[in-house]
Amino acid sequence: MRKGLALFLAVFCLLGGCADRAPFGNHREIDQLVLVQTLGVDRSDGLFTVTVSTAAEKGQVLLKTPAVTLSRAMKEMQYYTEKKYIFYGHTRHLLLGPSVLRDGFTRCLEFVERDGELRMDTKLYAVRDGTAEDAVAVPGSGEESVGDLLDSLEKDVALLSESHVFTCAETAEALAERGSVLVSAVRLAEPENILDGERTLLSAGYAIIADGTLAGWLDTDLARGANLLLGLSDSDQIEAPDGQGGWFSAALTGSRASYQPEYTEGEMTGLRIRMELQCTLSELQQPLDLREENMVRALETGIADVEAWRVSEVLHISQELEADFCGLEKMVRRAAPMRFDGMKTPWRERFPTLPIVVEISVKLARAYEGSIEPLPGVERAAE
Amino acid sequence: MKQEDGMSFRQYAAAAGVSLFSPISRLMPKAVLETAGFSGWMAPLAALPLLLGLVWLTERLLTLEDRKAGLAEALTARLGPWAGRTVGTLLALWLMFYGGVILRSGSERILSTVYPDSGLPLFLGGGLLLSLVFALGKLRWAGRSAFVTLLFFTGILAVVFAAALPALHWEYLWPPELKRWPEIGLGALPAADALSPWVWFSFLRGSVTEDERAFPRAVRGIFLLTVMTVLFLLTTIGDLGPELALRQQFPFYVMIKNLRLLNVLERFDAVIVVLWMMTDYVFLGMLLLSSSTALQHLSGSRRRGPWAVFCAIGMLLAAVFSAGSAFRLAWLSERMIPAANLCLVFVMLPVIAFFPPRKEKSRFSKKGVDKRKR
Repeated sequence: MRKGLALFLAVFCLLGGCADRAPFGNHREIDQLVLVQTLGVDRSDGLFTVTVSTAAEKGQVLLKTPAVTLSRAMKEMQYYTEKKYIFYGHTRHLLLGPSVLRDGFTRCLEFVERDGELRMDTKLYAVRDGTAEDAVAVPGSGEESVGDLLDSLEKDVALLSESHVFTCAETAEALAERGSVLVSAVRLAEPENILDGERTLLSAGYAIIADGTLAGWLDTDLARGANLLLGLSDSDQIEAPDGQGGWFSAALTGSRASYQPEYTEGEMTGLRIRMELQCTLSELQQPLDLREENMVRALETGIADVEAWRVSEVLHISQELEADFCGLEKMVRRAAPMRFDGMKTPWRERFPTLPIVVEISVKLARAYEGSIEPLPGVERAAE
Repeated sequence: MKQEDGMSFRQYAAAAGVSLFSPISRLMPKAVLETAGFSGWMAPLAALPLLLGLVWLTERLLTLEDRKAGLAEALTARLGPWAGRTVGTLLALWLMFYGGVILRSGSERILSTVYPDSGLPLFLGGGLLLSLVFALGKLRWAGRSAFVTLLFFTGILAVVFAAALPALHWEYLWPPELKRWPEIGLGALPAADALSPWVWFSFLRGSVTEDERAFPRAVRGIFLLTVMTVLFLLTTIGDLGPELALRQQFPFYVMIKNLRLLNVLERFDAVIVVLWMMTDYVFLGMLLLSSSTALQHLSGSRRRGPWAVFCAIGMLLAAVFSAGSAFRLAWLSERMIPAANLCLVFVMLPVIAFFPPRKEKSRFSKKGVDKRKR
């Protein structure tokens, strides 16, 4: 028994890798590691350029290496750190430049899938207008790293529903399932937007990836429509005409979409998308008597028209590209799974020419302070 | 007085339960996704009747007159000494090969997921030594250590499920494709296959203390195992998505890599993968015990130890020579072994179970003297 126990413990200690000269080879102390937070990938002349950024606490480290493959670039990066090992296991953000989005998108995703250190829940971004290198280097030597900026941006875009940040796993699953996907897009802020001199990243809506390559972009306005379809729109600020020649603004507080496919003889002949939006009134450009039911209805119609345009435009692009990047298939199927599964023509073939009707109903129920009217002399700047 | 070596039914069931998480993590969810699509998480439920039937058939197979025998003894009693010995020996050899593939597969997994810079011999040798320690000692020691591993492992599973369930994408799982019920039904086969290797531990059943409540306990165990497997599939498919899970070689470990516990703890995948190896070692130890017990019984030998060493060497050879690379091993582990296991467990053994057992010769002579004590 004692011999067995001793042998058991000896083997276990060996497997534990506690010893300095453990035979496993990858034992490193935490202070020997450079923890990468953000990874940027660009492509030019057949080479991948990988840019990495670490956390800002001990001074952000920025490194860049071009190489034929991503693996080589990431390993070559080790040359540029003194006695430290660059560890990619805590990478939180992956930014892909437009060059990679056009050629190499699936290769990057596959690399994340295959790599032992990178994780599939890494957040994925597409860089619009510029390179991933510029985006990763955006905070320069400031107190914040690009990782901190992206963490903050992820929360900020949800406020105006201008985008949604998906993980590599969600993107890879969507791409494998329906062949097209949306990737949250970022852009460098224009110099005139920057007041404190610090460069920053802003949301640029979505990049559309279809058949593994960049098929187009949805700007922040259309991204709102896409988010309504994706069921990701719980907060937004909507500006719309008030029906009296002026404008008003309402905050979106909730939304719900239902999909009603119409079938005839085993074929889907149409799709009705019904959306219910809940809003609260935020701003009025001119005095309106909100006690009048018709007045409120007019405001609701104004919001519905704006949102219907956004949603219809997104659907139009989606059908034109023959790419169901919003994943309507799943949502439509959920309405009547048996009939959907029994369809004669597969969804992918049916979708591009499917007549789709969008109906949006808005409930403008309240305002934080409904009785306040605009002061005299308010300009009509919103136009 | 020297105490007879044996394990209680509870320990036996615990060892079987822990062992099964080795094939579950190796084969699932790929096996059920390939057959039943994204509704594959329901496959273990569809496999329940098959598994319950297997419990009943195994009990029937092992019942000789009014006692439970080991599988080797049951084979000779039902098929006759020559055929029984031949089938028993072939099954023992099969278990050695099976064990070898498990050993290699577990070692390859830890190499590819945690220690890519290390070498295969270390894990083959280490794993085999641990399993040999498990198999060389008394059965009750093995039973106790399996029971402790089960308690420990249940805790790990609880942590994994607690971290994974809140992050599930329900849209990946619901609504199920009920129109594909034939495929879901067919998914029962790989699910039952992954949950059936406990049958091979029946070689030890002759050394398990008789328990009147063995059958209801086994049924309860199968229910618990099915629930665990459904949770395992729900978390893996629901986190990664069916298409992505199907693309991965070890989807469960990829899923664990993504887990965060209360937004405080992350990247504990290496710890879980290494601890999960315990299930491989217990499984390997149980296969070692089963094959050596079978050969001991069939050869009429008094000692199990030399046979355990013989089987360990056989397993090592199988581990080394069964596949040239991890890619070839994947074919063996995901295709050939499950197919062979399915045929043996769900076709051959049930057929043998319906062979009537030959009358046992009385243990006592006409004068009432115990023949075994002569």
